[in-house]
Amino acid sequence: MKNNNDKDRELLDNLDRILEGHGEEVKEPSDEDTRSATEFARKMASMREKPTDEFAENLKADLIHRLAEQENKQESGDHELLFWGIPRRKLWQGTLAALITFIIIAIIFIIILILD
Amino acid sequence: MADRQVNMDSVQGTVPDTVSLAEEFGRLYEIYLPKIYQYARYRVAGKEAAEDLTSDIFNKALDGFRRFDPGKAAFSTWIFSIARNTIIDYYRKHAKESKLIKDTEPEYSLSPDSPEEKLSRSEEIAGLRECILKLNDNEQELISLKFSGGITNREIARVTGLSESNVGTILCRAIRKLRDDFSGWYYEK
Repeated sequence: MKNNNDKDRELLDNLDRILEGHGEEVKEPSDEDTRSATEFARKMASMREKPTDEFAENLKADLIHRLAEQENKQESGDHELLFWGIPRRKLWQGTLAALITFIIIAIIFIIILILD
Repeated sequence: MADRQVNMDSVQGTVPDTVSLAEEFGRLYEIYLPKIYQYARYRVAGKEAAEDLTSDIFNKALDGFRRFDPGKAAFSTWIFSIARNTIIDYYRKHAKESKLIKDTEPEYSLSPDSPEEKLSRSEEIAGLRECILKLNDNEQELISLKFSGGITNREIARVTGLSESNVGTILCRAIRKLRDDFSGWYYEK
């Protein structure tokens, strides 16, 4: 006589075969409870529903549109990039800051020279 | 099997550019749309709600697809985790609504021979859905994941955080419960 664990194991094996599309390979269950549960699982698997073609096509179109939007966003972000991945704006800001610093140092240097 | 194919392909690495990202996502969409739709159909009453949830799930999947790491999880585990969380959010937002709204919309997407057969089939499907929605949350979750995704008990364990043996035990109990409940529903009819 099989215990509950064995019965469960048998039912789960049968279920996997049915869901993998190998329902014909299901072994004849050894007890009535497992047999009727297996048959019910087979019935349930046959009652699975599919989305309508219209829904599938509309959702696909939405996703493609969304993907294109993401791509555009990413591209506009890429255009801001200069060499070595430095953003153009940051590069300008850095250059300007360096230039101002250089001018200030030059002025100080000239003033010191004049005072001497 | 499709799932295995996806896993094998996904292991090739992260998606390098938009063209291959679109191609890869498009391929996975074709495979997983029926599974995710079926999952949503099991979990909520109403075809429109199931369609809205399916859209949400795929939009979230698309947003996160660049970050999806096939080395960490199979695509099926990843997308069913998104699906599960989306359903949890849905019920959080619709907490006051009953799960057991009768779903009487006939399913004309099925194609048995006669209109009578079509009607009785759609009644059976509605009855089954009613029985599923009467299961407790765990049972409902596992039945939906198993029958819609056809995923392994190990993957279900990863998605739900339960142990693999627990998944097996709950699944068997839920199938037996559904069998009894459904035959009761059938005789009432």
